[in-house]
Amino acid sequence: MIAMDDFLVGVLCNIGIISFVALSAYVLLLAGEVSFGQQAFFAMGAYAAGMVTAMLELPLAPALGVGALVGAAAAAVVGGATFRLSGFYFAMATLAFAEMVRIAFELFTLQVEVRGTLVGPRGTEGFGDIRYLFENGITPLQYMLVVYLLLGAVLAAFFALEHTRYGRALRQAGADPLLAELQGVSVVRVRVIAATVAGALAGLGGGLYAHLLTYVEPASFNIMLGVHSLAYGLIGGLGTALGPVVGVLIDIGVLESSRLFAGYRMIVFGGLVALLLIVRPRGLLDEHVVHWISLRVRAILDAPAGRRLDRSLRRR
Amino acid sequence: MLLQVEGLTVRFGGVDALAGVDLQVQQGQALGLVGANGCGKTALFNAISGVVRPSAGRIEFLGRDITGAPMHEIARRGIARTFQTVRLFPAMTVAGNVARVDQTGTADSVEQALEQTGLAARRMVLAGELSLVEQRRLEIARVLARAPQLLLMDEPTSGLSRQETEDMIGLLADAVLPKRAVILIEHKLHVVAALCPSAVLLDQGRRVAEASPRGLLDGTHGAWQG
Repeated sequence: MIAMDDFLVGVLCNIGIISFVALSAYVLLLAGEVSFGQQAFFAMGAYAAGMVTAMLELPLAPALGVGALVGAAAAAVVGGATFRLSGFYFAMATLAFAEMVRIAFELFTLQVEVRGTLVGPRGTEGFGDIRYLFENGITPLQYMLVVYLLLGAVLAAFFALEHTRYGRALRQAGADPLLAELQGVSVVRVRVIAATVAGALAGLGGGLYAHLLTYVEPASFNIMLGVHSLAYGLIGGLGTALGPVVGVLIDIGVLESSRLFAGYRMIVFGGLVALLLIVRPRGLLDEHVVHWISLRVRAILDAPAGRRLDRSLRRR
Repeated sequence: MLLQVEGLTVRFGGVDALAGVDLQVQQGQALGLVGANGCGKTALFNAISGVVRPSAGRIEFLGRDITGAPMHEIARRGIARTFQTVRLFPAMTVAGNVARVDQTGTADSVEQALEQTGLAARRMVLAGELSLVEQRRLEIARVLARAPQLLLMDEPTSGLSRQETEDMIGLLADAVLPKRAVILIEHKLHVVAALCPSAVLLDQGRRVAEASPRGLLDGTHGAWQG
């Protein structure tokens, strides 16, 4: 029973953490750009946050902050350099950048002695001994709560963003960049901000990931992670920030963890992406579904309390 | 002078879409822009609104040079436009299409725009689900909410029935023209005649004449007929 619970906690932790990199790719999809390279910022966040706790022996909170900042800073630089590109060219640039970062981590060695042991990234052998959770007695369940607290805060921020000028500008820039420009939106500025936010989200997710696994290596941040991150939004839907989380839930929560499709998971996953791109190109929770749900919710909230009570009594 | 265009040339490869066009628009003026298909009307709108960069010439708006400026800067300075084929954000609601995304207009101007165009009751409908005439009205609402000083309208009655066209003329005359200058591209003569005291005739990228719409039709300017 305990093993079962640990498995469930591990799966839920994984879903929560991968949701950050899925949301990272989602922000760029909203801005109208396809990135195959968000795993680069996830990797940077993982290494940076791991170095802060394992090498500098600082607490988890600043480590996660550093991970997010490193991801944001790198993404701002890359975003500023590549947002004159669009479509296929932008996608290829992000992929190339991500591979550069992965190879750079394969060459990156920086070790310091901490309490008699050499700690730090060691090229292709990776970066182990990120033992903050064990050393501080944080249980998997407690860590899962931290992950979902942060994810909840990020989702709440996304919902709030939808009602702001920037949120509208972001969706307009993604839907029709020329029309958005003619409404006074600087599409390049919107996209660079989106890239920076996306980098921060990926970096934060990377920091959480490194501390969950205690060990990261460059091979963990390959193109497959980038492709999956992108696919989660396309499966779950681009109408709401819950979409990419639903995508992760379907992939990790159902396809991988249930082991129903053991050995065939990637075939099922690929088929699901292809099918949805044909029948629901903006995912399960696309703008139309989200609009339909929001109208129903609004109708219920706007209905006089008496009518709501009548309806609930009738149901009973 | 609100808008001053001097010697505007837009070249695509070896073809001059516009060849040295001059144009002046005063505050509050309604100016028709007419001519055959391919004469350069939309190219002129594209150059003024920043969609294409002119090959030569100068565009001044409120005394400032906006030649080749980014589209969003030109829009923020007070120039708005509509399209011959309705261009909206179809997956956004009517209210979302009209809502401000920059510092132009006010919250009141958004509400007023929806009321004026008869779309207030349709605010929560997705723009892609509207009928063509409602979509045309939504384009008008969007520019009204931005309160531009100059509006470039590209065939606002295209695809509308006779009655819908008359209603659109009424809407433009009541809500759009009184508060701003307008340049109107339109193939339907009676629409131009109803809204614009004068019109400029373009032919093969050149300005041929400026006169009243009736005067242009009655004259010898066959280019008008398209």
